[in-house]
Amino acid sequence: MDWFPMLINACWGGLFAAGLGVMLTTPSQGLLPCFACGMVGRLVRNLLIAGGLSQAASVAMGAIACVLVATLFSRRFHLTPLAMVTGVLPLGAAVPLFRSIHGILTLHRLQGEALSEAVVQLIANLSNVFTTTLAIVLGIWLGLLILKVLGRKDLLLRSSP
Amino acid sequence: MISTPNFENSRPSALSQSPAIETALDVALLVMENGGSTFRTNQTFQAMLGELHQEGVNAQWQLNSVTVFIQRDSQMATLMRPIRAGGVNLSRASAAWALARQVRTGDIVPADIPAEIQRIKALPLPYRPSVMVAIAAITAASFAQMIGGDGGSFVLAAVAGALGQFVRLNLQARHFTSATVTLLSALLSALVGSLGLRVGLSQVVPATLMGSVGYMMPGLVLANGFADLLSQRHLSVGLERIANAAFVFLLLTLGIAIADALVP
Repeated sequence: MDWFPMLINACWGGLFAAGLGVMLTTPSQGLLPCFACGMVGRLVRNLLIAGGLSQAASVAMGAIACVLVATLFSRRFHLTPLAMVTGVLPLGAAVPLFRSIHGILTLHRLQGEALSEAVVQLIANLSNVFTTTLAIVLGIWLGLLILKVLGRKDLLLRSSP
Repeated sequence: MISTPNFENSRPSALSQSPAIETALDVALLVMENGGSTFRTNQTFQAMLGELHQEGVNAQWQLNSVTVFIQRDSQMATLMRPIRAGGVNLSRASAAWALARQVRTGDIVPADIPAEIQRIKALPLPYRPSVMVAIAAITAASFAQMIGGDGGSFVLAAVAGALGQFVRLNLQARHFTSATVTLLSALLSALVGSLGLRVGLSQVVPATLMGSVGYMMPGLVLANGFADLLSQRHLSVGLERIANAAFVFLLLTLGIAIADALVP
């Protein structure tokens, strides 16, 4: 398992999450938690995929990690959990979603075998979007459940909107 | 707009004209209109009502309006308020939630709430436009790298992000509709990416094109939508928000598709 490229990729994920944090007007003290959530979530996802786990399960685990990291930060920084949920966005199926919409827009031009191939590709992309999105929602829900079992859910919910 | 079940009297009832309910609604709307989730908005509303000793009041939230049902003894009243889409400012949303907590802990007396609401409404955005432009460049470039871009993708996405965000801020200042702003900004950003690909600055087409519009991902809408869905109390608002996010994705993809067609 080659750690370094995965770590670099996770850092890009963290930077993307922090950048989106700024775009969403998160206060400056919230940017480090945004970065950490994005990076840890993406790193967990990358490591688990490299370890042989399915993409959906890896994404769900990444989302759980994200919620837990957000909780660690929320007491100290009193930050919005919503902004920290930007951390799960690097886990999202943005690329398959773009490809799906692009596929729908270009499908009418194709004929014969090219059309059949494009339809199969479109279904595969849509399936990827659906399972990844469900995995993120499931991961967030499981993360909150873990916090509830540990009696720490109030930390995340007590902080700002 | 106010309606009451008292058909004999066309004037609104005293029940629906309670200043305490109006104040609680003002604070809750600050959360909703500045990007807070429906779950948090309702929590703010209920927290304010509790401390202002208002019982039997419930709200039904939608994206563009709120309906408040007031029931006391045999009297009932309904109060409706529009919700304006004022843009995201999480500082204001956080301050409104903090105000509700201060009211609850007694740190602020009810008489001071209106002045505090005005102070929150006047809070500026935490970042200057030039900072937002620079951050859009970084966001777009890091997204391009995250999805497998090369050095050329990084540079192209950064330039596309900065230009797109600059145009986006200017169009927003001129009160263009949100869909127009998103589509035009996406088109410009994707054109920069396409031109760069055309002259051979990068070999990774998907990462460059998608990265160039990555700074406009509807992150907060999606997060709020999921938060509303997970709360199980605001399913319809949650679904509306997720549909909005899907519409933004459609506009971003349209921008890419048009740019791709213009620069073959």
